[in-house]
Amino acid sequence: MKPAAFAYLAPTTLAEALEMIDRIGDDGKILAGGQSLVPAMNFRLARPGTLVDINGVAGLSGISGDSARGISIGALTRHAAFHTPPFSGPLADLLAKVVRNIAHYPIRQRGTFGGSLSHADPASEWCLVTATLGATLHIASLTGTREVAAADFFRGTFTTALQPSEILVRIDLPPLGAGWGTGFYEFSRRKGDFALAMALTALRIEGGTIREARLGVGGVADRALRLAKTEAFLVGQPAHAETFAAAAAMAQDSIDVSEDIHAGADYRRDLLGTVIRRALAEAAA
Amino acid sequence: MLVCAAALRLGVPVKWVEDRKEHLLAANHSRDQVYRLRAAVDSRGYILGLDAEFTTDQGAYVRTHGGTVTDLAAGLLPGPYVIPAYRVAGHIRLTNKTPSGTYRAPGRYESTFARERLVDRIAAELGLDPVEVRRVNLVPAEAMPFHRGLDTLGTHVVYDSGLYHDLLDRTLAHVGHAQARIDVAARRNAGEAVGLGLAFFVEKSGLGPKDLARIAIAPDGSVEIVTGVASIGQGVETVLAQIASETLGIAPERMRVIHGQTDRIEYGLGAFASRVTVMTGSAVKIASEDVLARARPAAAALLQADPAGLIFEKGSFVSASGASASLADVARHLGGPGLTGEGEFAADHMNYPYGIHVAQVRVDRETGGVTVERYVVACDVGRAVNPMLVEGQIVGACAQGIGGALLEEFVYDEGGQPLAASLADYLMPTCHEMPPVEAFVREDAPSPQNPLGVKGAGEGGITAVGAAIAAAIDDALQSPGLVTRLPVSPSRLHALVAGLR
Ligand SMILES: Cc1cc2nc3c(=O)[nH]c(=O)nc-3n(C[C@H](O)[C@H](O)[C@H](O)COP(=O)(O)OP(=O)(O)OC[C@H]3O[C@@H](n4cnc5c(N)ncnc54)[C@H](O)[C@@H]3O)c2cc1C
Repeated sequence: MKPAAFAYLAPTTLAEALEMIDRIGDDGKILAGGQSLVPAMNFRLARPGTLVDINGVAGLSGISGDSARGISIGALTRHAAFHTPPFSGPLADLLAKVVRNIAHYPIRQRGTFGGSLSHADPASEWCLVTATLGATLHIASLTGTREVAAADFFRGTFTTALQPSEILVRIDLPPLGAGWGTGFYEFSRRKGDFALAMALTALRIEGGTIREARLGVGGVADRALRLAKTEAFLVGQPAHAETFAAAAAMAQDSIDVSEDIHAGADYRRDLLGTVIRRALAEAAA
Repeated sequence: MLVCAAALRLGVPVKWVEDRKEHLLAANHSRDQVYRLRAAVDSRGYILGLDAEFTTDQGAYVRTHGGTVTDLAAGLLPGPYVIPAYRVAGHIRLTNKTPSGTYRAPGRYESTFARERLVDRIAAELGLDPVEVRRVNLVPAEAMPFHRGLDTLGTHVVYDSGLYHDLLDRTLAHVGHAQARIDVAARRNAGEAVGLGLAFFVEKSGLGPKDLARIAIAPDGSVEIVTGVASIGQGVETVLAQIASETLGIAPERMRVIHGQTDRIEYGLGAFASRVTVMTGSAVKIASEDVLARARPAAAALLQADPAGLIFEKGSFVSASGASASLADVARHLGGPGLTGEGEFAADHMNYPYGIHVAQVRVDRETGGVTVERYVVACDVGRAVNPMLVEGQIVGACAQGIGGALLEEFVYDEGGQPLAASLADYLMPTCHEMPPVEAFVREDAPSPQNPLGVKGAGEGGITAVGAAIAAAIDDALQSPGLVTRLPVSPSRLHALVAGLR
């Protein structure tokens, strides 16, 4: 199908864009990469009266910082900007590893980091990255800018803390400097499909013992989940297969997994254990 | 039909617009069959008798293709094997699903899966090599033409030609099967779940009853070939021009193939059932001969020579004295409509291409994921008019087959609601899911039933994919008979693996 008729606005400054969406309210939608919104409009699942295209707004894209200090990502930064690590260190390597699992090459040229977070697909890789690493999201409106922790931003399937009058402008990821190892494992039906289950982790290991841990999973519930209890369990444990199996079992017990035509609950719960074990093993390798 | 009727009634051009969702919900589905097979075998695995019962879920209505799928499945279930005693009952059931019809290798993709699974089971239960059990059962070359003693689509099933044992030997050598078996066994010993599967198929092609072609050579030497066929992107123009070119000695670049224009020709059945090269190709061949037959006396008059003494070579008639007249010269000399020819080819029997699929897969025991590492399709098409197009058909069909084996499924909920009504849920393979496919095209058993010796090449690439991949998965997990249902989705395979523990 083709979309229902809509009006199209193309602001060039953030102030102008904020004024527009504030005026239009519920009937408007921000257009970023269009890789989720436009298919939804074609299926008539979304019928916005007005699209406010932010692609021409200056200053919304770009990456700054580094692995040791943490990085800032402009909301309009395309997925493809991470095809090669934008700088050195574990954080950048992790992002470059993850990005290859998002959709397909042409979609990664258009789709944006901020668009993925705002869309909040339960199996979005960037949602998993921000939830697991504890990102801070900068959200602008006519009344100013507020900061929201990723943990508070994602509310459920396609649901976030964003108001219709707000634009996500920047995402800050905390540092993952020297000493951290990272792991990511995703299983999907085909290359580029949304994950049936995926796990992302970062471990700081000293002398074979885990000193710090980040662990999150996606595609298994209504949003990406950071597994704080399992992280706490991992700290102080030896970095070997038994620990990872115990961590996976812990996570399996704590999550009420989602079901769809590609994965029933039993299968997805088992898959959840597998992706966690594999991500942890990669981070420890 | 509706579009044509509407255009005639309204007197304006009418276009049918159908989106993907409508198509996936309402256009014919296929492949929904369940088989129960019983075989009596001797100690070599030779099948003395096969008792088959199967059911086709036809969906809500008997629509465009009637009972074709069921009919073809029953007719071709025995495949390449002798099976002296065969009884089959095919049931058609109407349900509240989307109606079903034919889909590339209808009734053969399904029945080949069921039969080849049975042969693998026979081998496993008798402790025999599945390749050898196949060899024992293959119809020998001396038995060709082989009368199956039943009919399908209203014609007797008579395998026209085939060197089945020979193809088996050649394919095993081509694949390096003995070494490949050693290699996967070594990898299995090292902990991987990799396996090889092999499946034999017999296809059918060249469905009649007849096709027509007309050829006209213009005074400038250009050629128009008018056919009643349709192009679905398979290279009809190329193949038909090539066939005419071989007889007329005029370069294919000078030929224009007309198709899909019902005001230019009174009949023609179209592109389906791997029939175009066989039926229309043969009609074009006959029409080309007709052109030459009509040109000969005219050329003789032009050259003032005895028609019988003229030699035709490289597009020209040459007299004993060395004088020559091209077909363009003849067309100019004839004036009026120029030089024309007509050919009709009728066939009351189909012909039977055949082949072997060999798959190598790797299974991820934990996720249930299957990776196809290598795929070989050996296929005897009688004669490959254009080998590159044959290869294209085989590779494309194989991709479709891998989709059916691992990915594509119309899922319904218990109330009959379709749940896979977009291409995000109905999963077709992409280049990432495709292994390199090797097409091993053979021309060892030309069809005696048409002037070209050709058999259809449109479906052999898909027919045995489900069977070969299932066998490879069984081998990877060292569990003969494990896979009994397609597609082998990760969740299904995961459950099967869990059941093995
Ligand atoms: C075939 C296919 C496969 C895909 N596979 C994957 C996959 O495996 N993993 C994955 O993560 N994604 C996948 N995607 C989605 C893709 O990554 C999208 O690019 C992404 O989800 C949305 O980003 P976008 O910039 O295209 O946003 P848009 O489609 O433009 O917008 C999405 C939503 O976010 C809102 N929005 C966008 N930007 C902002 C902003 N700055 N502030 C406030 N609201 C905003 C829009 O109003 C809209 O509601 C796939 C898409 C397709 C078509």
